[in-house]
Amino acid sequence: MSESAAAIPAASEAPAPPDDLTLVRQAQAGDAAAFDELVRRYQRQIYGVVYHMTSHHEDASDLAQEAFVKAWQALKSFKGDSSFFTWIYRIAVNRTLNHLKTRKFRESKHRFSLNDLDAEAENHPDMVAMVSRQTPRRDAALAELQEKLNDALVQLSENHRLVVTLHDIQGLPHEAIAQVMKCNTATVRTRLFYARQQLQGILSDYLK
Amino acid sequence: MEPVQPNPNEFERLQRLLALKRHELPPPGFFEHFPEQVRARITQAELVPEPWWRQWLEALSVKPALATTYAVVASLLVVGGVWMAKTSPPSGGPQLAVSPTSPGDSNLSGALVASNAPPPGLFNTPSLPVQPAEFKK
Repeated sequence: MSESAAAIPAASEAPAPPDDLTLVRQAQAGDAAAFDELVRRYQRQIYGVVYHMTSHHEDASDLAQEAFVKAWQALKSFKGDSSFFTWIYRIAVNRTLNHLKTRKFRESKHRFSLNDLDAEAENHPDMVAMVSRQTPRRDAALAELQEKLNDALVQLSENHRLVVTLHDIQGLPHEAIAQVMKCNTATVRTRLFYARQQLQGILSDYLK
Repeated sequence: MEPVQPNPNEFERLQRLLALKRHELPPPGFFEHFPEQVRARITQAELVPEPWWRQWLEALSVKPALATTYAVVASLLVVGGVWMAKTSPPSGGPQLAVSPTSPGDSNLSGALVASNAPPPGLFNTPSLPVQPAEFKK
């Protein structure tokens, strides 16, 4: 503990940020600040995967927080066989799948408005190209596109939605997804293929 | 069955469309306060520990191998129980009362006797004098 703690400078402007394993070891020794750093490091990805699975901001916020709380409680059992990234993802994914099994999809109180899409996205060439051809009113088309995308994702099975979320939205490689889902890469590729095929049918109006 | 090969252009467009979802963001300031909220929930969980059964369910959800082990053991117990019930001898079943050993015992008033023998038919008992009924005209 003292060796690893000495290796990490206390100052926030550290030239090289500590790696995950160092932070995990510090957190296992009871260092809450080290765990907070891990939370900060992965909060966007964890929130993202839960949000894209549930299409519900409040549920995503709650489940993402729960995943980190469970990670803290189970941190002693983390041996480092897999990366912390895979481990926390697995916790979040399992909790989300359990949540989806027990609770049907429901409408979020907070529907992401156009303002929630960042400026980069609104002016993204793909976005502009896709919506400008659909309707003359671009804002309405953006909202419609967003709703259509979420509805299309909800129509997929949970495993198919997960693999699309992790690969096509979050950009994880097949190998990392296989580790998170505890299956082989061939299964990931197959699920991805059928999920895309289904999405292609649902979103056909936007793909022609 | 061979799956229908998708149009590569449409596939590419689909991927680009899905990638746009990366830009969906939660309300402003959400991630600034997120670690604090996690810390608050950890503190709350330490003050009010969860009941044992919920912790057990949590452990099962985090460790699927443990859940599988529990399921296998539970299934074996059920199958074993059913098998033992089917293979156990019939004499081991419950009995309401011991059958009378002598005819005199059967005359005890209020004695409840269970027997495997079929109940005697009223009209098939030769020793019982039964007269057929007649209607008066």
